[in-house]
Amino acid sequence: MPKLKEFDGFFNPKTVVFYGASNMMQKFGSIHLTNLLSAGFQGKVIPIHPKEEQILGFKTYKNIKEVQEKIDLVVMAINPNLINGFLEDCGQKGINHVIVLSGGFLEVGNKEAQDEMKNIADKYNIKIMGPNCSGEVVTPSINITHVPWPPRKGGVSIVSQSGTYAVQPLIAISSKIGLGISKIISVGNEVNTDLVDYLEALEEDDQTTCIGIYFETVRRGQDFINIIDKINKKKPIVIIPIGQTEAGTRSAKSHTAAITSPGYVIDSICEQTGAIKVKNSIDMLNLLNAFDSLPLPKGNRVAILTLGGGPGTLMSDLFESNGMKVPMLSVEIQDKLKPWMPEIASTINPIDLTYSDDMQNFLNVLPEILLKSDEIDSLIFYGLMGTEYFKNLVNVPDYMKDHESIITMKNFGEMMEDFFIALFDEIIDFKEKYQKPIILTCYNTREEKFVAYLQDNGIPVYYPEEGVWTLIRMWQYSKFLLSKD
Amino acid sequence: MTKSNKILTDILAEDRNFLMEHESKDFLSKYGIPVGKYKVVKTKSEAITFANEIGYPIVAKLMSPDIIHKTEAKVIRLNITSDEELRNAYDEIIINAKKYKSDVSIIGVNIQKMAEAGVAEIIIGAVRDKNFGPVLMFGFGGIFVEIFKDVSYRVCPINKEEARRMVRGIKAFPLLDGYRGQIKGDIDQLIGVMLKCCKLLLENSQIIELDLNPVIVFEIGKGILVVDARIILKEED
Repeated sequence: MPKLKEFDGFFNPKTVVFYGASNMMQKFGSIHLTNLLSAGFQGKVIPIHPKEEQILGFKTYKNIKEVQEKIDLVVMAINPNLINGFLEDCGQKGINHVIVLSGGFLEVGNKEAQDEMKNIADKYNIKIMGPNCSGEVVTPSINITHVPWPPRKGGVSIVSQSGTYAVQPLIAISSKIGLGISKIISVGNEVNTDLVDYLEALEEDDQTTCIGIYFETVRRGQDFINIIDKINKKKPIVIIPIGQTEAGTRSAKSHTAAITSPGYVIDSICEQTGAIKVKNSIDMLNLLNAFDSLPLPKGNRVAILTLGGGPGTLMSDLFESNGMKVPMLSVEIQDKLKPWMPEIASTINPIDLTYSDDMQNFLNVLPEILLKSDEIDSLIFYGLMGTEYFKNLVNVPDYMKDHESIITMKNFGEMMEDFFIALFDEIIDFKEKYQKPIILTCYNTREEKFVAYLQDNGIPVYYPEEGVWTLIRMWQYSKFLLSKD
Repeated sequence: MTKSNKILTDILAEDRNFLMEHESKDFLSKYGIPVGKYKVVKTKSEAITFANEIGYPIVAKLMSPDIIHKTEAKVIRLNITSDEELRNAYDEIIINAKKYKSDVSIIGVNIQKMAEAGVAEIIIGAVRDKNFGPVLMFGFGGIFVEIFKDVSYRVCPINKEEARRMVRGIKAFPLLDGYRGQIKGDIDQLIGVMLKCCKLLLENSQIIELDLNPVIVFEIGKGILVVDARIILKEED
């Protein structure tokens, strides 16, 4: 059976049973149930509870065997001592998919309880996600995690042995970069489904365009290498291996009973399979977001279009010391750029406008000349005129407030946002039209409406160095693919 | 259980976790890995007969299950050029072994030809990773590995292309490839031996460490030669 079909109960449930939800909103089970419903889940939820008649308005059963409906998925967030007994009930009821959020098993040395769980699950053909995990997200409308987060639907999937890394960075970073998620899977102790199983499912999954893996230990090493090798030819894989130092190894062992591998082993696996290794969760999500939303660079030549000399220079250094080129542009191209640029500006590359208040030139005219040329393979911007200045005019001292210039410009900030959005529509079109990656870098955040607009429409907006590293690693992946052709 | 596997099981049964050099070489040659001519002799006259058969200069080393580091125990003599030198060396090696450990168990003295200088001296090594299995290592010997850590790794199995990328992956690669008009090394043969090491590691799960050091790479067409070899085992779980 295809893996994706085998996991249908996890990825496409219609009826979900909760153990551990109650009328106390702060209980772990209640949090998961509530988050699922606030994500827009259209199916049915059924709480199981020993005493309550109803929970949060839903009819409640004392025992799962009393439930008449067909149940696709069971979620358990209860005392670990009770789990195996309830699992036996689930087995007899013919349930095939259970998420066990609770910890208290192999990670605390309780091998017996975990072995018993495996035996029951295998006897009744139950697939378990966990135990000791943070659940799953399946966009657009399934969120069975403790994080109340309505993700934007996209193509990024994450498989993680760390529950925290499966969900926490996503709140912080997705709200910064507008990441589009397909699936998040927290595998926990992997009692009878593991990293390799979920990777096999994601390989088949049309909704997934790229995959991030956070791992400490691999229980099926050779299978892991083989599936990564297979997937990475079609969908880029980004990994964060952890537990590479003595203290890291100790920590990994204590929280998932993991035996880690040294860095040189992980590096050699990346060499062999072309998977991209990154060192932190921010780099990982930046890169996955770019893989999901941009075409791959076809070569290593970058054009830098900047509103400041410093970032242009720093970006050039980073690119050129990491295998990419910031080539001098031909006289023909420079001649095309010149009429649209200030007299003192440089057209060589980086194309440095120093300062320009003509955003149309900066965001539409010049980029199109560059993207159209066959001298560059990708484009990175630095600088955006923000609206903070205009919005901040409300904070001038009282004696200035009535000045007519200030009154006129106070509302200009919001008009400006709308004006920028029209310019950005062009850039969004350029990406498709010229099939070259475009990244915009600046220090503005999603508080600026147009930053959110760009990000949500597939143009990554990062800090300058983050943007550079993202392109460097995209090229690393492209180059790997080209070497295999 | 394969035949070669039984050799390892027998050694483990003796409560020993490493193969002596001659055992390591016997084992390697089963996989077609070139280890040169050698013979473990029990007497001085036997040593001289074999030395004359293969021709001087030769190397003499003590083979003992009690001694894993031969240089440290001073039981190895290089570049012996005559019968007389060999007689003296033989006595010295036995004396040093007894100094190292008074009740040392002596299997014999291993006589082999002193290897000629090649294009380069390299190392092929391996360790067994708990998650991913055997990991092969390649690099130049001496300071290249010890100080510069100029080595490359791959998880087994690998194919020819991957082995080639592994060889090209070290910084010192030009020294094997005719840097500044020097003679080119026999890289194809080197790659062949690396692949054989992978096979050996995958077929023998008791081996947790392999250290072929040094290995001499000769010019193209003349192959390579494993000069010294160490295989470390672990008890089966």
